Amino acid sequence: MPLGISRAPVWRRVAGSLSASGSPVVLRLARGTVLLAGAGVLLVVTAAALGSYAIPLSETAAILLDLVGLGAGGTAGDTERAIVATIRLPRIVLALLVGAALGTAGAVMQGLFRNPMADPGIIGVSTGGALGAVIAIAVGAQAAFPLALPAMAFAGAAGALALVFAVASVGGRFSMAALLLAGVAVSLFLAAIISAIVLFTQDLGAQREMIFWLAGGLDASRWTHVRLAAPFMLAGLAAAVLLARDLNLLTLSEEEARALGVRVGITRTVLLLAASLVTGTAVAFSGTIAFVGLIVPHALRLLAGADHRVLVPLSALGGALFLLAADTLARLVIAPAEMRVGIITSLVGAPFFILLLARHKARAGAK
Amino acid sequence: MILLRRLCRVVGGVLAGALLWGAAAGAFADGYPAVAGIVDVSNRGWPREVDSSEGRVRLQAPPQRILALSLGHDEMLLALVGRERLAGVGPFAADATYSNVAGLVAGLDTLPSKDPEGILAMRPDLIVVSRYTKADLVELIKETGVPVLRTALENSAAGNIPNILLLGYLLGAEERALELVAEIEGRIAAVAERVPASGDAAVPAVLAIARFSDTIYAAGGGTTEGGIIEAAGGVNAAARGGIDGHQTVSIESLAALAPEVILITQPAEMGGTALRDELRAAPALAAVPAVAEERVLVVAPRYYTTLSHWNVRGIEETARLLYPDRFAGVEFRDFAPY
Repeated sequence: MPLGISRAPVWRRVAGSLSASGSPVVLRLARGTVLLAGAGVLLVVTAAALGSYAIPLSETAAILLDLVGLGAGGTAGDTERAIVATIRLPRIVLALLVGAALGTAGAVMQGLFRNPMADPGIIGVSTGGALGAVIAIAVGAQAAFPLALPAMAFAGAAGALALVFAVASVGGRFSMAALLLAGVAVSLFLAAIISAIVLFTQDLGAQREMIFWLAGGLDASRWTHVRLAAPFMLAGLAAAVLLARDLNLLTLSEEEARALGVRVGITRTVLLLAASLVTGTAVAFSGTIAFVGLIVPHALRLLAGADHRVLVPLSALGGALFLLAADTLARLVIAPAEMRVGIITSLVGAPFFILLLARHKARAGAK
Repeated sequence: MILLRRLCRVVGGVLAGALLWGAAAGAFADGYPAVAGIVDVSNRGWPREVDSSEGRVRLQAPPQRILALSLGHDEMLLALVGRERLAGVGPFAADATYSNVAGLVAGLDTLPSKDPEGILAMRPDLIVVSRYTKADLVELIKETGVPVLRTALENSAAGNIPNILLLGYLLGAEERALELVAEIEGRIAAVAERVPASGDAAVPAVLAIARFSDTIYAAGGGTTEGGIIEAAGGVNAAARGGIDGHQTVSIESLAALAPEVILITQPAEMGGTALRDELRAAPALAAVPAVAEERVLVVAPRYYTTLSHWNVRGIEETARLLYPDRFAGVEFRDFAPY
């Protein structure tokens, strides 16, 4: 049993979640996926076509078709091709990956902690990643090796996760309450270290580097980043999707989940590791981007229901779309300058979320 | 003829500036301009008073232990009074990357951080703060009875002239303040004489950038770097593209702005050289004039980020980079301390 989590074989569990064609879950998932994927294709083409450097849509389309081997030349020059292929596309792909990661991690954490305010960084992974990045800047590693910063951010995220588990575990077991408390404590502890490093750094340039990194952003995305981030993120996303049914059962109660055949301890651990893996990777390559992991699962829960078999994959798609849309806006609203994407995610996300809540309340009141 | 017209314009501009800061409060008195803030410029004895946003500052005698909390003020104070009259310097004054007075402050006490106790432990008899200093901190210091003068640090040498004159008056260093102002104006005018007038076809579009944590920031309108570029005979490409202040830009934005010269105002060893090399190698920038003509230049950040008269050095160095032929054989010198 490759995953070894539920007592049922993986193939049966996967088939079980998909075989009942015509069931509400499959229909909702299919509808949501088609809708979001369709919007995603449009958004990707739009994002590739728009930017501070004006490239006609027809040329962008020709370049994109060329890149996938379907083109017949086109009139685009080298500069236009380079802008689309080496600047816009890696940024688009990384935005999709980071958004999917944060959306999925948010859905998983909210389900595991049975807490709608849980976000991907709730157990200290984001703060650990930030600490790794700040240390990389403080010791000058990021100036010496281009990938030192994401590598150390990832190491920081992994270290924070290990520390939280060590603090929360007793005899190899842990409760979610203990994990939450340990996560908050470790997160605050690491945040204090970050503050101390930023404050006591005598080098003004390094201090600026730290502050700007902590603000998060996708403006320096490269294909190298995509190649490095994608395997971790896709692995984490796959694990979360495959365990969505078990996550549903875990939201009932541990006893009920156990009675229904879920190996509670290992399932929770794998889900936490998957969510932390994708969050840590996202933080390593984009810094800390607020709101996506909190708002996207929430919004989709209101639209598509709380079933994690639907919610987790749709949160991945929704997070990807939301972050790509936000990043595209960030590139365009004050072009040729750019806004920080976190400003857009909060400015756009918060009112949208409030609107959804208001509609939900109105509907509940009408019943 | 053209040269004469340009000279007239420069002299006229400097005169107009002088009249502006002088006439702002009325007149010159006893050879010293009555800049805003000086209560009675005809009073050249002690006590003397100035007004600032922190209220009226009254000093009974020339201060002997002055402490500034901003690097720009440290640079001005060292030009106006001897280091003997400083209680210490701010945390960045000794950092040669960003400070123009690092070589002059060796041996002086350095403020480790801006906490009120640490500041008072240096026993200052006058504290100079900028608009960036937190109001709470200033209130705490004032409650202890130490006089606090807050002056706006402007992001151009010419803009700081009123501050220099105000400080010169309050410190009892009027003569030195007038000398310094004359030197600033003279050096700016000397550059202006040699560079083409704005609007001239020969004026290149110049973009000043720095990169922090993989994010590139461009200096748009209203920035120190932008002012330096314009005073040095260039067009600020970022301001021309609609950017105000320091804003994030992408490599794509650099291509869209199409500058003829790119100045990297970041320490060479702290990513400046790496950024230059990356820009030169970026396929998307191959057609940008600055890259194609190999005019992507790493410059000394201390001249471009300072909020003091030292950005005159930035104007001079930029002018030389933009117009090497016109400044062949011209030697620029640093500002001397008092």
